[in-house]
Amino acid sequence: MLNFNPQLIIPELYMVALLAVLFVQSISDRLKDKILWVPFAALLGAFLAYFSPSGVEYMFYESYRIDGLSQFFKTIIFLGLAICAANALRVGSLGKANRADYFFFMYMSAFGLLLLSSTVELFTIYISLELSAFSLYILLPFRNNDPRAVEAAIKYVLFGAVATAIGLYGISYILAVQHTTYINELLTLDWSFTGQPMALIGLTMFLLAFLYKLALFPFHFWAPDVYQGASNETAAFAATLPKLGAIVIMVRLMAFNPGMEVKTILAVFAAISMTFGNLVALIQKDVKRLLGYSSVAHAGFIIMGLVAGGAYGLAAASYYALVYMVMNLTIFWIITRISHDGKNVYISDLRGLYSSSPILAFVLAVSAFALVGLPPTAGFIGKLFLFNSAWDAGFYWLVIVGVINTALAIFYYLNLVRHAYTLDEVVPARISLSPVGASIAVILALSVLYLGVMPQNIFDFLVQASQIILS
Amino acid sequence: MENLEYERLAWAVLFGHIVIIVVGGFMTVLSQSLVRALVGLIMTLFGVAGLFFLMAAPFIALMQILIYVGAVSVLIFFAIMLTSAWPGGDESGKCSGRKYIYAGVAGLVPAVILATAAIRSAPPSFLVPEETEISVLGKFFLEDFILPFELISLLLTVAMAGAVVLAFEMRRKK
Repeated sequence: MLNFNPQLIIPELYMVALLAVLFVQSISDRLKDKILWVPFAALLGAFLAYFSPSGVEYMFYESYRIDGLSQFFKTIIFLGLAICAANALRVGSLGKANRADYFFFMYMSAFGLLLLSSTVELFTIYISLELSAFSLYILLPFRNNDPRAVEAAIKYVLFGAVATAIGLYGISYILAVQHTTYINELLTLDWSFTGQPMALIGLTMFLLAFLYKLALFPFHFWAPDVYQGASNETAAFAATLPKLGAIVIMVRLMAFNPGMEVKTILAVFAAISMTFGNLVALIQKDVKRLLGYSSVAHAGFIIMGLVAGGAYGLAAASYYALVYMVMNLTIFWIITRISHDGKNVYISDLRGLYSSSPILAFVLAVSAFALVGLPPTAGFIGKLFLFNSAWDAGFYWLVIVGVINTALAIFYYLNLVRHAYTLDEVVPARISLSPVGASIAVILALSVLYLGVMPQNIFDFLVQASQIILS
Repeated sequence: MENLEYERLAWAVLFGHIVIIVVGGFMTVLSQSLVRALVGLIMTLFGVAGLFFLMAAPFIALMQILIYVGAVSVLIFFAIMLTSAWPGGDESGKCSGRKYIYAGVAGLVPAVILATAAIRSAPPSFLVPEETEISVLGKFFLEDFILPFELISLLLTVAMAGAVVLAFEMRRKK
């Protein structure tokens, strides 16, 4: 059944309308720099997604599914997009391309992610993934005459093409054995290695395309280069939102409860990813590169919830996706405010931040504490859910590795805070912080604290949504 | 008796195509000049089109020839011509023998694993190819797969717009 019901996809239709406006703006000389409305539009989209119906409904011949999980991810994608757009309003590194172009591709990428959170058919998933990735490939090289940005973009494109090709090849294996690509039919089939080895190999290959987006070891090599090479504003987007799309698909695929072989491989990858990411982050000087390695480590944590499986594990992974997005948007917001002329920020640039801007120093401290996972921040409670789920599923060794890694991570995150609070500045920093910039920073910090103190409502909702997926 | 001969012929045709594909692939990767690499690529694409014919999918095979061999290759040829890439680039130096061995192992290991999985547990009912009518194929795209089918057009729009934006960006820098 086509079952086209516009009421169910109001957020997506709204996004299409925004894209149409941006497209017209990008080709008009008079309108191309009038983009102040863009973040507000994304914020309105978050409200639309939040209040849209979340009962289980299928559309487009059962390839598109509206449920609690999809509406949750659509809401946070819109919220993250609003922050990213506000962050990039004054982006100064576009060269001759106009701002409407920049936001057109950013919003197109987010549109791909919106589709990803609802699609339940493997080919549709693949094409939505490509839609979001293609738009991002175009955003990355926008940085005035900086060869590093182009290098990062080319690396990301080439490796990304290989990763998605492997994923597509995986679909062919799944299709050959299971004879369907619809997730609700695949859910009822056998996914053990003894029963259907080919299907399991296919599923693993399909997952690889998403592990690449998540920057999990051994597909992590792009993350530090892309974070460092892209401009601060673009990196804030590339570091956060595409991972949400990857996580929602992995949550849906891990609901198949695939054989232990796949789970063990993922768990081993997760353990190596955490350890490797944290160890290499210890010696980084560039804050964005450091965050790149930290994201490799965080990918390992998210996988922990996915291998645990069950409603609790999947909900823990989804919750950590939200926490991860908010923490990273907060710290990238600070980096963009501190950075002078859009240059990269080094750890030594943080010196004396407390005396030049106490608000930014405080927000930086909150986000660093959250990234470590110290209470009462969101990072703590998110990691607690993940550890709990992995422990209950019997992955004791993975939990131990995770805890050791949290201890390792304390050093380099708190090093940022140490530079900001205790060391004197060498050159007087010029930080022009507008009241709006300061208040958004404070709101972000407060939401990091809120997610840490009051997780129960959101988490309960996610557990229910995951149960609906599993049934 | 006649059946057996037909089967032998089919095997010969199959392996002939595989040889064409593999040789074309190596030509693409190993040749020093970009134009020769392109010729290798075209050879591989022809070989793949032949495989589609063998699988009783003549429509797909013709599309492969029309789109890849016809259009995409010409496009790549224009790209080579317009960017005037010279053969003395960064990667033009001779590779060490060890690198070739590593590359060979890295290519062979997944191929062997995947092939064993496919040969060992391929579903038997699908070994005899059946031709699908084009009208069925069209219905399939416009009913079951309408959403991905329409999304592809959006994807192409983005790719094209992006190429235009980036290309103008590069030209203005000069």
